[in-house]
Amino acid sequence: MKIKNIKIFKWINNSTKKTILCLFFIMISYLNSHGQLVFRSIWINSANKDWSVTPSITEAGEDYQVQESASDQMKISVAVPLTSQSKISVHHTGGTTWNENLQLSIRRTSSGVGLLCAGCEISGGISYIPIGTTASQFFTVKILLELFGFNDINLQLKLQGASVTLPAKQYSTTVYYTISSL
Amino acid sequence: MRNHILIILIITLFSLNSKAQSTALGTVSIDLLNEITLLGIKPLGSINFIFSSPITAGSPIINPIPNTSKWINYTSSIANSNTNKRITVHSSEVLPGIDIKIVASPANSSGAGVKGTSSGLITVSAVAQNLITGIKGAYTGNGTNNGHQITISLDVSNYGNLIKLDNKQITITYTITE
Repeated sequence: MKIKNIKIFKWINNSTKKTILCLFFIMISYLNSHGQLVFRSIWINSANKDWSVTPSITEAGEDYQVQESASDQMKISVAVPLTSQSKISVHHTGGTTWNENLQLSIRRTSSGVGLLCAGCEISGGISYIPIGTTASQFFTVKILLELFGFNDINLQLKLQGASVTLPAKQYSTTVYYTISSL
Repeated sequence: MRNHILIILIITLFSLNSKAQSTALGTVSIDLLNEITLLGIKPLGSINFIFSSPITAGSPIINPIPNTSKWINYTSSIANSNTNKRITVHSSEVLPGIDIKIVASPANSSGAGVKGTSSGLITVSAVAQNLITGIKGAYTGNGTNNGHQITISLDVSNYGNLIKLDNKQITITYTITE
């Protein structure tokens, strides 16, 4: 079926048809690997979005050690518009289920997998940065031309400040990863 | 005009199916639910006390030099702020005519938290007595020179009950409890 035979296009001139086709291909280029149209998007692999830790003490007189997750504990992916730069910020909610003496840090241990990526660059975040209750910049991504963004960027977490001097209970917090223009 | 409407329509259709997500989230949880109660005496090993005979007739037996080599280390966590833990001490037996006395020093600066308070000098018996009280969430550090230094001394309390003992071994037991 030729496009000129579609009834709806009969009253469109050739110049407009070309414009529509261009728009269509531009939008196709914004589809991520999940077939979703994205302008600036970040998502986390559902199988790797949580970290639970149960520290232990074996010697009398000692306190809990610093806890460090697996180097690929969390995997996030980002998609950004072509020829754009974006920053990924991180913060956590804290609140009543947390204790201010517990200090979370995070670092990026891989660059993720980019397919058909030209002029793509990911930088920053390879050393631990503290995760506070206000957003702070984690790393940046820059893309000139690509289809699928940066997939499965490995993240590692570190927890300091766990101590027997804190009330014995379960502590939890939600970590937010936000992508925005640089 | 209709051309523009069509373009806007197409863009809108794509947008409706788009994922305009800009934030992802995960959770971190740490389980400190289990209350921890650990006690250790450092360094390991037994200590020896030797009473010396007097040099001159009519003089008392010479008591052994008090031993200060042992340190109490502990780690304690509590869920309820009203909880207090204590360390008690008792001996496997009492020596006739001899007192075994123990005192714990105040906790030194190693570690952190609410460490316990010494109950002062106590004469050890087969019945458990408080040596340190008021322990809450705290750790003392591990090893010699951490926590509470213990001074153990042996005195003759009743010459009439003294008997000759060779290599008599006594076990002193320290227990941490609520």
